[in-house]
Amino acid sequence: MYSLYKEFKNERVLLAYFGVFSNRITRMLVELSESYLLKEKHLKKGISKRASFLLIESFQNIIKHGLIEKDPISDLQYNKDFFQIKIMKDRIVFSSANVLLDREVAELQDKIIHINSLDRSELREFRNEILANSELSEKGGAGIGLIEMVRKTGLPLLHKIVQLKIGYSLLFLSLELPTSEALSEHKVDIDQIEGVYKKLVEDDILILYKGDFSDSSNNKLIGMLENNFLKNGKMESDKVKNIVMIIELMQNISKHGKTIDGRKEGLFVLYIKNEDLFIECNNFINIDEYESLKERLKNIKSFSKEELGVKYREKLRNSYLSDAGAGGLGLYEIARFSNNTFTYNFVETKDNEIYYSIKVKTV
Amino acid sequence: MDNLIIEACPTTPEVKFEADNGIFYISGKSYPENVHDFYDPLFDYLKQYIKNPQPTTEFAFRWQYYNSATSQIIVRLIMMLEESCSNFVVKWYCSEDFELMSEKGFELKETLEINLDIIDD
Repeated sequence: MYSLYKEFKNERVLLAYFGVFSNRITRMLVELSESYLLKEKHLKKGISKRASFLLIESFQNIIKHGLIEKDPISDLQYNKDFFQIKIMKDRIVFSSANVLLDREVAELQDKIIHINSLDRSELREFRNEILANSELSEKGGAGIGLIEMVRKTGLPLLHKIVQLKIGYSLLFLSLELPTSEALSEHKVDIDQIEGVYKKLVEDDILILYKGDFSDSSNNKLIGMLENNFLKNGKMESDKVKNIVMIIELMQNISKHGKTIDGRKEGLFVLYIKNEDLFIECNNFINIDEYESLKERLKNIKSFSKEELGVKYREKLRNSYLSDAGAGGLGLYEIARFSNNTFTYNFVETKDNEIYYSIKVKTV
Repeated sequence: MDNLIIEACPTTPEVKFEADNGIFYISGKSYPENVHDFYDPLFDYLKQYIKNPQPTTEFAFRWQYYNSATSQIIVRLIMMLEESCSNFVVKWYCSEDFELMSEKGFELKETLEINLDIIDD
């Protein structure tokens, strides 16, 4: 996953989700994205408000044309709806992809081309005209959302439509909100968004988060995953084990990850491989912790189930004596919960940094 | 001593400590980033209690789940009372179907060699 990290190196925060956008998932993604926006203290109030507005509009656009009613495309490879928020130093980028029926494509494309051809005052006039005259379309709205996206960002709508098969296309839409100086043109390349989408779909990624793991940054994300794993609120052992493993992995970054520019940078990915669901966490570690962590992981991996139990209980008993006595208990818990099938890797980067990744198959 | 009541939050459990009755109760989820921020006041409360404990003391847990840092806290909470209170019992409430939590209770009982009852909820 180091290549993936390098791909998103410049993003302060990146959250990408692939799948169906039910009301529940959408609500959680909005809350999660808003929590990341709130953490960006340098954003002026006006920018934050515009960012929240664009966030909601991006989701509404996916929901309006969303996948739920388009089951026949399950045989296609690129059939997942997608939302991504990227917070960068000078801008926030909202990108989405959603599957459209052919009958929706022409109408939407005409609308986008027309809106992109209007200047500021024409846009306002067009919006007022729609509000005064037109009835809301069957799917809600009548292009008002698209007009507002252009008005709030000051940039035309960046889009691309790719036909998947006869009857179905994929719409990529990207909004770029400058946070310091206005942009005269998009910095985002829609072909690049399409490339990233395809790569992540090919890797069967469901959720990807890259950003700061310090303090309570993870709690919203954990809450969202918890909601997904424990949908009915019932405590089932295996599902609870998965949640606890996610918590341990994320808190491990916040505790032991290397601090770079005041942040504990890390990457969290939930993905499917050969029909199994995997959790992967990646982060940089301090070089002086490298050998001891490697040794500890090697040791844990060498233990049988019984040995793991004995060692765990020993550490638990020691925790009565001191904080240090139970150090590394989280790794033992991960090993026990995953039946010791977790894997790990270290990459020594060109800048002499150590990039650590740990992968766990859910149970 | 006044009771210590803390409502549950997304990452911390509900707490009901009643020193006058010798009953201490924790329930829910626990995975705060810093366990000390949340649990230190609980330890402070118990430190006061063990100066003059009730004839019987009960610590009841009803967990959904907790992280490894909380596991260590649970051990310390239990051992603090175990060492200072006579007639001390831990009640570990969990559904019979919730195998993971029953095992956690059993493991604590074996590891700490304490009087711990696992009670089907």
